[in-house]
Amino acid sequence: MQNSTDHQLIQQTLQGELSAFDELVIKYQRPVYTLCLGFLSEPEDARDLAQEVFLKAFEGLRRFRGQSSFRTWIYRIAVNACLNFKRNKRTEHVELCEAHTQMIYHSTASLERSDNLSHALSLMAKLPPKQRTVIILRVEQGLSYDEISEITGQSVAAVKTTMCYALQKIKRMMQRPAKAPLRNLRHSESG
Amino acid sequence: MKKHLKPVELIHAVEKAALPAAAQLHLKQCLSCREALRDLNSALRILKADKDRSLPGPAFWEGFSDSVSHEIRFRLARRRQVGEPGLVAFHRHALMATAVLFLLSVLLTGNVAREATAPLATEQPIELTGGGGSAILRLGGGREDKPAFGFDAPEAEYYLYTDSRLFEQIHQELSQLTLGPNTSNDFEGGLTHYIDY
Repeated sequence: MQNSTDHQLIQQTLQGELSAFDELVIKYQRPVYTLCLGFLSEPEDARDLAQEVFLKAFEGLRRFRGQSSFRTWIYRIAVNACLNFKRNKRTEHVELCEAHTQMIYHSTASLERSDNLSHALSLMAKLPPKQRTVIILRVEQGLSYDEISEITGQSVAAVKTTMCYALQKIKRMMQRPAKAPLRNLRHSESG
Repeated sequence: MKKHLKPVELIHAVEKAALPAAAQLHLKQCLSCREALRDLNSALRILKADKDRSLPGPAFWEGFSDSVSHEIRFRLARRRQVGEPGLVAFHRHALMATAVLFLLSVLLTGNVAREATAPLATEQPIELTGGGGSAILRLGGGREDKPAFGFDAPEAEYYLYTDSRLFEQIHQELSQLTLGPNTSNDFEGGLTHYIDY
């Protein structure tokens, strides 16, 4: 079964061969987990959510029409799950603190306090969700801009623009505490 | 001279994709754009350098896939117990649901001491959804409905809506039901969850 394509494995799963879905899990568990880790930063959260992504994929397999690849489909499930998780966690925190400013402080502080957090992860954690999504999918997962466009629902040009702004923001964060202002790339004067 | 490179063009340059001749020429002549490109490349290098951070070992991945596999089989088995369309529907959960419906109807028709301020108000106190053994149990109470418990399997969602006093009474009754080791435990879990709610 190792040489089966995703399409074959899906068909076999739908015919009741659960071992075929096991193959899909084994094939995609690393990218899905690392994607979740890129979003959530916490390994345990990432593991739990990645497993949930596969369960959602299994439950929704009948709705998978094969218009996109299984890879982009499961990435889309994973990205949505991660964004929802972050959103819910934020809401939960606001409810607990009843103060939005405290929430922002908390999320930044909690990211910075983790000694194990890699430099890149801590930088990515500070990006807005849209930029973070594109960076994770492109840099970490190595997806093409077309695939990212399919997953995020943005045009390819919009994805590239987001990528550019995200990298600029990363660069700015790297330059701290100098906090150099972002150069305006759109000014019409000649350089 | 051409205007500065747009973000899309800068990304093309970062990705070593072909740039239009005018953009290439501009890049050669424009210090500002070259700096912008250098910045983007530098940020990308940092991110890529960290890309291959240490991932969990083989045991983690084995446990990961085993866990997903186990959960899927568990859910399917439970769904079969509840009764899927096309499968034999009379399973343990169906029996449990029937028994619970009977019990609740008894409770709702007068054997429960009701609070005057929180009457049992629902028109259809008990609703059976599709899926054989599925049930949404609504026991009004004159207040906002609160979902107390739900199985993950969509056709096996049990929700209890009630006030705490009535709930405790139901809890006592249900905990005495002997429908099988799994079914009574399921309800125990749900009811306990409600108390913690």
